[in-house]
This record gives sequence, C-alpha cells and structure tokens, in this order.
Amino acid sequence: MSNDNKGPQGHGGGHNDDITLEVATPNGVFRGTFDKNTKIEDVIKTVVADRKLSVGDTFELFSGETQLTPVQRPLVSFGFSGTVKLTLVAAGSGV
Amino acid sequence: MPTASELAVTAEFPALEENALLLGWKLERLSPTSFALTMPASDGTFFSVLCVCDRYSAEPPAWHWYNADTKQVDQLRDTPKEVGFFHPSGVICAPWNRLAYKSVDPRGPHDDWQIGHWRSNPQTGGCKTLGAMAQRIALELKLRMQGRRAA
Repeated sequence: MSNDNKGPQGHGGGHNDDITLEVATPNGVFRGTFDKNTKIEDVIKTVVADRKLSVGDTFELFSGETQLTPVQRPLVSFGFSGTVKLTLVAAGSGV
Repeated sequence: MPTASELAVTAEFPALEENALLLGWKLERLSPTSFALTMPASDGTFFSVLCVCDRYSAEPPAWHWYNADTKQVDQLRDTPKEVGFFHPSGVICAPWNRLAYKSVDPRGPHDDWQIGHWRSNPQTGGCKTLGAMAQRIALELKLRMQGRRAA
C-alpha cells in the first residue's frame, strides 16, 4: 500500500529546502518529499489524492499529539526538517 | 470460500500493517475476521483493542478493550477512564463501533442509531475503514486519555 512520492513542489532528495514526510493514513503509509514552504493544506490534498481517500471527508494532520493548524502555515513553520513522521486522521467520532 | 467479511478484512489489513510498522503499534491477526492492536497512550502505557469483524462491513466491527495476556475483554483495568468518545459505559462511542449500539450490547449508549446505516451516520465521518478507526482510537489515547478505570 505504501508509495514513494515527490510532493508537487519537491526538488529531489537531499535538497536543503526539502522535507521528507512519512504519513500514516487510513489507507496505509504515504512517503513523499515536499518543499519546506509547502502549506499544510496542500500536503493534505496531495496525500488524500495519492492514497485514494475520499475528498468529501475531513482529514486532520498531526505530528504526535499536535494538530498542524492553521493549515495555511507552511511545513517549515512547525520546525520540521529532514524526515518527519506524521499521521493523517479522518474526523469521525460519536458520544 | 472466504466470507465477505473475511475478504473485507484481508483487503484492508495491509494498510493497518503499514501504519503499525510506522507508528510502533503491535498488530496481530487472530483469525480471518479478528485482530488485536496495541497502541501507546499519553501516559506512556499501552492499551490494546480486540477488533471483531464477523459482520463487517454490512455492520461495523466490534472494538473491545483487550488484555493480550489474559485474553479477557472489556475489563476495567484495560479500559480508559471516560473522556471524549471513551464512554462511561466502557465502550468506544462511535457509529463505527458495533458495541455503541444498544441493540447489540446493553452498554451501548445509542438506541437512536441504525446499525445498517453506520456508514451514512454523519458522526462516522471518514472513519469507514479499519485503518481510519484504528487511527482515531490511537489519537484519542494520545490526546485525551486520563488513566484507567481500575488499577
């Protein structure tokens, strides 16, 4: 299920402006490289499309317990560099 | 010949395996339609769930709190204290958990949800696959868990 991808603004592995993401999703792991200035909302769109998740559903991106919001912020603003492990979680609960 | 439930679990299991490897979960398939999953919580301990999918996906799976050593389910010491969708009755209260339906389990808080319509329940959101459900439980354990219901 996993796949290696270059994000839409990636410049290739090893570039100082790149951040490599490993993202656990409801449909397996996404791996891809993005420019550090890529916005979170664009990361989510790329991962949703690549993992063939339903675009009509709501997804939230987390680094550990920290939700990456607002989604207009770029990756680099969260202090990320190198390879980063994230989780893309579908909204949905009850109570 | 495999049942529809067995085929559904087999189709979705690789995604669970990938996430388990990346996130450090312990995943064990116990039968063609059941598996156990152990995930870290915010206090550094681990919680386990037993997912029973014998009528999946016509009905949602049953997510039990689980003790991998004793094989018991839904014991207080293996169940998080109530917070968020960790309901005081001891079940995970979500339309994607069969145990949340009073028609299935007397602890189930909901007699107003139709189990056959679980996918279209607005509160299901994107939690329509085993991988999505497992991620949601893992996140709640990390974000909101406040200890166990018994020592």
